[in-house]
Amino acid sequence: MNGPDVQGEFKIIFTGPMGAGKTTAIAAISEITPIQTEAPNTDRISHAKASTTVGFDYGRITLADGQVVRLYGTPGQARYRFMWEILGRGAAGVIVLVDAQQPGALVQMDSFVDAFAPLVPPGAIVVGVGRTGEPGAPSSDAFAARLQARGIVAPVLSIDARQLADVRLMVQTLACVLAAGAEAGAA
Amino acid sequence: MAGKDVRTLRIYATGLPPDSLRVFHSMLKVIEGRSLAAWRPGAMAQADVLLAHAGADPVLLDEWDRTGKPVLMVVDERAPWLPARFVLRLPFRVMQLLSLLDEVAAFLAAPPAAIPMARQSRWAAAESLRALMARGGESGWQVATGSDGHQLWIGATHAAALPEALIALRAGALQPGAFARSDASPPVGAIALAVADVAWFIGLNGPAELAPWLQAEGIYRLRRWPDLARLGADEALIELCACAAARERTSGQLAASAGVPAEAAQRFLVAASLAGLLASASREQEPARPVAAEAVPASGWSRLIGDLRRHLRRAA
Amino acid sequence: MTSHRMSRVSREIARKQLELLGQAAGVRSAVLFTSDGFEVAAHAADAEASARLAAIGSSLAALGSAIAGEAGLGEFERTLIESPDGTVIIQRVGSSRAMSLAAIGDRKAVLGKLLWAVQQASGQLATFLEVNRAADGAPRAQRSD
Repeated sequence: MNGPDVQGEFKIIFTGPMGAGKTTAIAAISEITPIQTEAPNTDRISHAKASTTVGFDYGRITLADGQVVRLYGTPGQARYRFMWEILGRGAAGVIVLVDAQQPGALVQMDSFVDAFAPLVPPGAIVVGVGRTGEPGAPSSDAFAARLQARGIVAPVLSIDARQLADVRLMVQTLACVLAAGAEAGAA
Repeated sequence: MAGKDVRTLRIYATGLPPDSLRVFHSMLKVIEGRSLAAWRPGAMAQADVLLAHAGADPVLLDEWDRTGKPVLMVVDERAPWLPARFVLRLPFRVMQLLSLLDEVAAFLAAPPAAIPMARQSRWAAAESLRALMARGGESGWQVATGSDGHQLWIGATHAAALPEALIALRAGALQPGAFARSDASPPVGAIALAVADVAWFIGLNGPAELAPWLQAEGIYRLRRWPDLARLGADEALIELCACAAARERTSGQLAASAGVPAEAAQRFLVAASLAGLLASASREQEPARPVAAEAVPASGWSRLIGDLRRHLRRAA
Repeated sequence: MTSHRMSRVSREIARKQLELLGQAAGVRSAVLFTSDGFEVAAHAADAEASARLAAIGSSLAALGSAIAGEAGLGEFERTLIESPDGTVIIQRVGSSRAMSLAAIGDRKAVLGKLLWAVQQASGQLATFLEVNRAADGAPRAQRSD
């Protein structure tokens, strides 16, 4: 089983397909200007955005007694899967971001949940769904129901990755899930 | 379960693809002796429960609807979310069927009519909504009115209410009576929302006790998270959800592990149950997937999670 | 993907350039790729291997840029990975960050010669790509923030 590799310091992974808001979410909550490894996006068919993460994003939250929560954002495209595995190793939990307006968003969620579930402690997954309110987009309930149908019980939150309060809610929920899981596992 | 007075319930399946129907019948045999009830296939006229594919004959569904008995809707894998109380998604697994059938059995074991009058009136809105959702929604509109005159509308596919009624509902200021059929439609300006969201708020803001259909010694677990971003959540609610998702517990155990007052855990369970998010656990059920103990090696890690939560709370 | 942005002829010329690089002593394979990880041309690497090398190479180039930036050293030029059995060089192609080149050298490769050969190839490719950019309608490299 993977667990945190360094005692007293742990990392949270932000992942999801290109354009779901991983870089934005980390920038919103990180106390430092995030380290970003972006490159011009030449694949405008998959997504119209100008740039895309090709290495990782790195942000940080320092707690009261100097302990550090490291925040890593992964590239979104499947060709960077090697990076998912490097970053996911030893992570405390993963936040999967998806954009409800992107075609196939439900399937995209599945593939990221499947890729990261083996890398983090069981159940340590939170799903954030962007743009659920827009016409034609599936509601967050559709994402939750899909996880349920696959026997996975994980929080699904409709969020705007640009909003600090929403990103904070995702991290807070992940922390609650981890705490409850530790308590249930120890009981 | 086995050995006690197990009620026999008859179930009639309609509209399922032939393969799924075969699978369903063999699953019924597999769960024999493991469910809260003894399930038998039966003709429609004698059945207690209908298992219907969403694409089944609407005439038949209407006919069933008039009996007031529960229906278990089966939807295709990619179908949109259905505002019904009991929903199975194809292809379903035997444990999912068992879990849902247990819920139907629990529902049938505590019908609204069996509850004392005083309690019944306290739970009128919740009970009528529960019955409504168990039937898979009605074709017309149902309306419930609060003491302050605000109205909530439930339709076949969604709920509706005026913005001010929604604010009152979310704040717990709207205490609606029972839902009743109406010939009218929601007023101009009413906002559409999910039936499950209305159910959530009615449960969360209802009486400070367990609902009549839940038991103090009953073991429950969350089988799907509510969207806490949409519904709004304080830390206690996140905590309750996390604890209820991590493992099955009684209402009292849930309150203790989440560190909240007993009433908060009870209201949460009612809300989750009404919104169709709660599974009543039996021993044989699929275990939740908690974060395993061995994955949490350092006590320092638990402390760190606590520190992170305090940090986020302060930053909020 | 990138293939539709660059004509077949241009890709073929780029491949020829990599083939020339492949003639340098000890060069095992080479891949030209966009900074977002798409292979443009490859020499002596099968499709699967070159696609993977393109993705990993683009990450390394981006990490190289990030670390050079952090250290206040300006633009990323190249990164070098040495192993007991060989060397990998990731070299920026041209003045923009639009493309990079990965060359894998085996144990026989002499580092100085390998670096020189890679720089030569990179220079040739940069010139060629600049000239052909307008004609091919390839995306103009842009700095992203």
